[in-house]
Amino acid sequence: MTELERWLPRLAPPGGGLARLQQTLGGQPQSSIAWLSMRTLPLIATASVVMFVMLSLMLTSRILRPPVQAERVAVVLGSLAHQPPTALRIEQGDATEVSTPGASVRVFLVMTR
Amino acid sequence: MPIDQTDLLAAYRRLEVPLYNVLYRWLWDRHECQDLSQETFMRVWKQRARVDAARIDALIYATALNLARNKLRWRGLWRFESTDAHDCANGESPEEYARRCADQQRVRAALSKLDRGARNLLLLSEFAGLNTAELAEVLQVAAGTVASRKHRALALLKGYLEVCND
Repeated sequence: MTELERWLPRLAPPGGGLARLQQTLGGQPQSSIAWLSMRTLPLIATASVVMFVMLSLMLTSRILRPPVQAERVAVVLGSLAHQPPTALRIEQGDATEVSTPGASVRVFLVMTR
Repeated sequence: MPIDQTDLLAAYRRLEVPLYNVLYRWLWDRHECQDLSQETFMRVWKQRARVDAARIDALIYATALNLARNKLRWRGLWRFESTDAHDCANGESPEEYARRCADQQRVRAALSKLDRGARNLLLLSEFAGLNTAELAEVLQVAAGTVASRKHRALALLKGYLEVCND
């Protein structure tokens, strides 16, 4: 026995360490990829479903019910095109005619006060 | 090559006793040592994809020593001191037990006077049986200085023990 062995005798650890480690390892998936998948896959799936549903709703509403405001604007512009500029009456504010390539189309910018 | 569960459990069987003995001379608490051993192996397991099976022993020792150092810092922060002592062995008289406890206190006092590097060097070479290259890898020191450092650490420990005996 060396001096060091006398001062520092070899001690036996408390039992059950290996079983405890095996139990802890048993509670975990075998690979880190599987562990990642187990935790993240449900999240990814849920997010995908939510996104799909939202996109479907948006597209359906576009197809079934085209924007009403765009229709109204088109009607107003159409009616303006067939009228002389004097038909545009400004009560309080300025109107500026913007030149357009089409001769039959007149566009005015109206600034109200 | 990354490790699998078989490698880790084999390493545990191989290193349980030496690692426990090294840690015990730092923490002086049986249950804390076992907890720390478990934590060490779980940390290595978590980074298994990057662990080389050939170097697992060195990694386990290095991880355990780092965790022990953190634990001691934590203790210092909270001024907590373990009073654990190994139980009375079978057939041991109370006088023998008292003598053994006194010896342990003396060794503990002497070891605490060694710096961290010297203490780890002595404990790892004594309990883990690491060779010079392995000691150099675990302790991050030049291989050429391991033998002289170990000799100096042993001489210091002997000196401190003699002072404690007086």
